[in-house]
Amino acid sequence: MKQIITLLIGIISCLLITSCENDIQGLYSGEHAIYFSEYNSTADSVTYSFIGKNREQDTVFLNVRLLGNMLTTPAKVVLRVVPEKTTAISGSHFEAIKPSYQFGLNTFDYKLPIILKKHADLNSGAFVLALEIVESEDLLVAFKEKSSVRIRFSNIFMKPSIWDATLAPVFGIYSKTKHAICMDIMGRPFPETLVEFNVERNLWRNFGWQCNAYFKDNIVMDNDLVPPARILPWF
Amino acid sequence: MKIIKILIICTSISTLFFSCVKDDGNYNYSAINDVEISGIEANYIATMLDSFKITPVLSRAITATEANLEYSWTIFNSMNTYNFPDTLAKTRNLKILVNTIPGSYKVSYNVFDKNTGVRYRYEFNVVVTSELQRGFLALSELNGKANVTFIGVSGKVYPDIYDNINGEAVGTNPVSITYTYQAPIDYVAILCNDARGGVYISSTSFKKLSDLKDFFYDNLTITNPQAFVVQEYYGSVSDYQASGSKLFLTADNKLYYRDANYNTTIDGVSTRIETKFYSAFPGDYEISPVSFQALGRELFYDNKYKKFMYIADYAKPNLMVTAAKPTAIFDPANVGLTFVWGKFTISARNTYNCNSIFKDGSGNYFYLKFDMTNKAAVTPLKKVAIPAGFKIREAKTFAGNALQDYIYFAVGSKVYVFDCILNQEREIYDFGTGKSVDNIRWHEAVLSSRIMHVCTSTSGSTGRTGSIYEMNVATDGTLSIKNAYTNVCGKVVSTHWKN
Repeated sequence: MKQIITLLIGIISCLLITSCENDIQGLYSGEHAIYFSEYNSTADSVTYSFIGKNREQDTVFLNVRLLGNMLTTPAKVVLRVVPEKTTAISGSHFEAIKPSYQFGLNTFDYKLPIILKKHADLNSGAFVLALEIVESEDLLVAFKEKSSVRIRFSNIFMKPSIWDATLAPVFGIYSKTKHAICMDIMGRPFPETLVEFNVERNLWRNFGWQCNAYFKDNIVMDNDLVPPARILPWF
Repeated sequence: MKIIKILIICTSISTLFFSCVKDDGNYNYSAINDVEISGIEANYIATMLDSFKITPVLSRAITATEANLEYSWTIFNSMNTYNFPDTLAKTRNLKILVNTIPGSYKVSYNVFDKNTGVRYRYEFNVVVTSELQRGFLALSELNGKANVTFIGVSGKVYPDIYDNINGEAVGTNPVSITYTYQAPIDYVAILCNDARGGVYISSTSFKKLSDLKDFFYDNLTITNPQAFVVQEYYGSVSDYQASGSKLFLTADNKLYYRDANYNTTIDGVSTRIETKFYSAFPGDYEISPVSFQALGRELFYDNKYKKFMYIADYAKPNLMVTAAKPTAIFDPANVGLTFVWGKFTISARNTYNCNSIFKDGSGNYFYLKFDMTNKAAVTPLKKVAIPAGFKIREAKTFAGNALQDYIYFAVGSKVYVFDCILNQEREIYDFGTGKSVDNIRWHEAVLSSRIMHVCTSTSGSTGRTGSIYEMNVATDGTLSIKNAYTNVCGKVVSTHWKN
């Protein structure tokens, strides 16, 4: 009898020890992880220009998405500036990145604010701020290829990053002169992200129609080209 | 054990001491003349736009008086969360015309005694149903104003429905009324040639949602609205409008297009985006308010340069001219005639033949038949001169369908049919002297039941002399009255079927 009890205790102990083995990290383990939902290794940049915006600083929101269940307690999101890809100067061109940001409860998305400053340097060209999500005490990195983003910003006309794929069918071939005139007609800057475009897709198309009509009715030379050439209507 | 005994003794002694504390409370209560609410059932069913009455019984505990009582009837949303309450009435008894949209609600009857400050409350359930979902819409001109009449499928007539619901006239100089289903919402669009230009109303409640001009991306003033067309699908009632049909508006001879609503992902959630009308298609043209709509394809006619036009790419602002066929019986790219009326008609499977009436500058009329299967290359099929004595030359209202090769039309008090195969016309119904047939229409949603709606009024009258007839149409085209709704509107200018 004593032997049987000893045996049972031995088996139960083995089971308990097995149960205590570390769980393998993965989607179903309940570990929380985050990634940039709108960027990946091929489309990793967002452009921003202070042109047309009457403000000294502005906020670019980077959408950070949560993988796994919703959080039960707020979690820290940690970013790092990637120095080898960054030309912008912290404090002058953008507000210093915080040690951590907070991902809230009851949501799968967090709009992480990056504050850009309208520095005189931006009048002469674009600066790049490269950021990367790093693992924090609360959150893992979900996808390496969706953990980085580059913000290209300036106070000059810059081709929006979604132009070729999304805006070209609506606004034709890009040129800085066209950019400036279209913004004048539309009374607003071009969308910088696909989501921004899709939310008002038909409004942008309508702007495209209006801008096309302008270049049809007016001869506008594009002086950025050598030799200068007329901007032709694209429809 | 000893410790437990000590604890029990201490607790008992403390309790005894507390019991001896002097009570300074006031127990000289005076009785309140309470209100007891009764006579209200737990569940009611109310019909939208019908009257709804409840007479509660109020009993008082002491003196039977209703002086100094205030009342309110409040309706809450169907989620039972007491959010977004709406006050139905502030009277002792409820006596209202129901204009709450269909759904399940809770209603709270509140009685407030101003003397005592005490509130009494009785809550009950109300299910609002509607007969307004399916039926016939008629836009008429009545006493100089635009007027909407609705006839439900049960045959109940709702005259002045827009005015009754919205407390205002829809406008003046009525032009058209169109039901349009744009998932997830269905609307009714009403055009009026007045300063407002028209309105969008809820199809369910008939409440005004917005002015028509709010459904344009451009900030424009709509002048001379002429037609509002939604792509319709022939066949069963359920699919006669797709969940996102294309919409076309003609105003001042210019064509506007509204794309179907669409979904996009915002923060991981698929979200419905409501579209608006684009700017008018640019160009030198005068588009006819009558267009050809056939199962997802549409064809327009430019009355300025007398040619058929189409949209090749709905994302581009280009109206294209259909291919020239100079050796055909007529050239679709240079018809040389002014378009009067036309419609998609009976056709072989996957073929889209249209019947149409045209006229020239000398007052000659022509019947033209063509195939618009390929809208970029319309195929002319027939061109016949209409003899001088034919009544169709005087017609202002026409109808056609996909079941017969006929054109129905009306002149004066009579309805006629033009046989497109034999090129003959004949009278099929006469409403009698003094009557004028103002509008006739086959509705695609009820096409299979072979019902044509005919609207008449007393000639020269501006009052409520308008009548609406549901008419059975025999296979030879003859008409007989199925249902008559007399003196329910003014002079009808436009009708549509609403699902």
